[in-house]
Amino acid sequence: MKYSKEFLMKLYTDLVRCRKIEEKMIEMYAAGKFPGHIHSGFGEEAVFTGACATMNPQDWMKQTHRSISSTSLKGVSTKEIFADCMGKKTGTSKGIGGVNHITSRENGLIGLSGSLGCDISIAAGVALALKREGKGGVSYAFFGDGAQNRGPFHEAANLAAVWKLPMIFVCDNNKFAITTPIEKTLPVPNIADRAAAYGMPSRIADGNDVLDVYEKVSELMEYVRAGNGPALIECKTYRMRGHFEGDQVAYRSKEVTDAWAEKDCVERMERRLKEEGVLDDETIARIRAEIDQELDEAERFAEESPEPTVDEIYDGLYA
Amino acid sequence: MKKITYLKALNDALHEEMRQDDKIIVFGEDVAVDGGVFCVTKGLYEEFGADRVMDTPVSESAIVGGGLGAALAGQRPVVEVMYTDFLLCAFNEVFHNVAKWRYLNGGQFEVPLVIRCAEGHSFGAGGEHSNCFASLLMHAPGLKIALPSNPYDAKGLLKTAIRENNPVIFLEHKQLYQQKGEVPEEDYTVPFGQANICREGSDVTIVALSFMVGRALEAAEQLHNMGIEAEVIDPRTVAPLDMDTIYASVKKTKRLLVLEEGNLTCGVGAEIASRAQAEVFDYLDAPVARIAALDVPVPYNLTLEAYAIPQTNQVVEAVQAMM
Repeated sequence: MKYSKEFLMKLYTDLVRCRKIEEKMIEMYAAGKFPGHIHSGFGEEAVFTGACATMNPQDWMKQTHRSISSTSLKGVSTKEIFADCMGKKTGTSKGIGGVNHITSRENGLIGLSGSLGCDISIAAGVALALKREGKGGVSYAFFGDGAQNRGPFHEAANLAAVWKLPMIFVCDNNKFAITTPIEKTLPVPNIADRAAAYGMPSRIADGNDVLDVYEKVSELMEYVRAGNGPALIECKTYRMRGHFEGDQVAYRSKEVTDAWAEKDCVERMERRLKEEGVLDDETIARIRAEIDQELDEAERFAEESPEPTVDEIYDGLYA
Repeated sequence: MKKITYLKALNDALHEEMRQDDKIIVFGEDVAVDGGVFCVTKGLYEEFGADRVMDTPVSESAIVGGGLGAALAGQRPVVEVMYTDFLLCAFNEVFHNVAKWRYLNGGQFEVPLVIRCAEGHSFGAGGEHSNCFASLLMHAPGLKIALPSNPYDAKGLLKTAIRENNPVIFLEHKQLYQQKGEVPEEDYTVPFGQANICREGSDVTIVALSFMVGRALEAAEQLHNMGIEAEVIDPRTVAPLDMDTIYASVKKTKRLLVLEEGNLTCGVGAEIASRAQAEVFDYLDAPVARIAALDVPVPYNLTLEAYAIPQTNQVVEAVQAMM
């Protein structure tokens, strides 16, 4: 076997935790526990879990609105994640930023901008700082197929390439920009094809196969970590939920969605690991039960956490 | 004291600060090998090298966003966006990202980023190379905004900006680059949020910004010859804005005129006038007067350009009408 049992168990556990965070967020949102909107990454967890598994502690990351659960892979506790979703004081943004502003400075998690894609150059700036530091850190920029049509993606890709920055562009192509399918907005077959314009190597991964994502990103990371400049990975997957929770997805065919459900990334990984004798039903049940318990506690923590008060409204505006 | 140009003052500030802290990096269009189209970054590349002074593609979004990211990860970038006008190419990054990153993320990050831009009309620079945008930027909580009007302030404010842990938009005026003034040899800073009373007077308060401070001082001299003593105040930063100095002056002079080079509608003067009427209404002997650029894009033709931009005689006439 190519990978150690320990590695595969960790990868599987991270994948299931992300899935269960996504499920819990959907459940809590439906129960009216969050204000605002959430954009579920249910079904796309293999993209961020596989890519994050290639990270070293000195690497930095910018997540997307759809990879909220990935913040658990970069040092944020599930307690903090749900507290942020509920706008509580115990969240990483203390109730100010909400679901899209879950960050951890000490763990190199910078968050994201609500104007999607316009934050990719920020990740390039992080890469510049990491290059200057010289400790081998790489900046991971996650973004979607919709955001890569914004100009700032192209400015960032160009700058990162001419400056040979240690950066990986991770595109979570779930095939929809809100209601508009990718075929209507992309003039080339693959988002990965764009990389050639910036002289970057690229790979296309099966975004529903966590090991395929891990392997393809790992191949690119050899190039990036050697100081050759940035690279781009396109992970092809499918947005299983609406753009936002509550979206009735009337703009697409249920048959196509159902077909993608057959390729579910968690079930596939489970099947594979069972076939290879890494996992058995008992272990799966134990891992799932432990995560359920953790998330129930995290939900309770968030619910019982205090709200920020109005006298704190200017806190954090200036240093 | 030695007299140097506003340009030299800025250039000296950059050199001196970069010698103190190797986390200070400079990038922007044409800033490295060429030394900047206005020559503000001249010599930095030679002294500090390609690791700290970098030319960029024509990509304002990447310059501003890249500056922010580098600041979040521990560097102290001073980036140049050649013309203030081009800052609008990165307005999303300025308004949503630079200004809000710290606040929206629970105060976890410091943002020691300076964005330098050249603003203002300049002999037919035209409608997209002449703008003064301080009022747009003031609408973004989280930013600090400095607009030096003379060489002393240029150096002292830029040093403060570079040492700040908050993002600063630093607006230099193109027509001031060659202006000379006294600048000390020793290290000094000019604090943000502290207006400068450039000339004392008892009859009217003129608050002026950037290049318009010079016109206010010319007007004050002409008014003096007519027996009217104008007090001229330069806020130096509009975020934070030192209203206390303005209120104290108005309580003394009983009259307020605000002079700026940006367009009239929703200008900086509108904010100052609004705050003043709320705070010192009972002291005012005349309505607050405003002089600003006409509400047109700055025309190319020099006669029309001069007509669109506030002139000294307009200030003199406006003050006479207030008396």
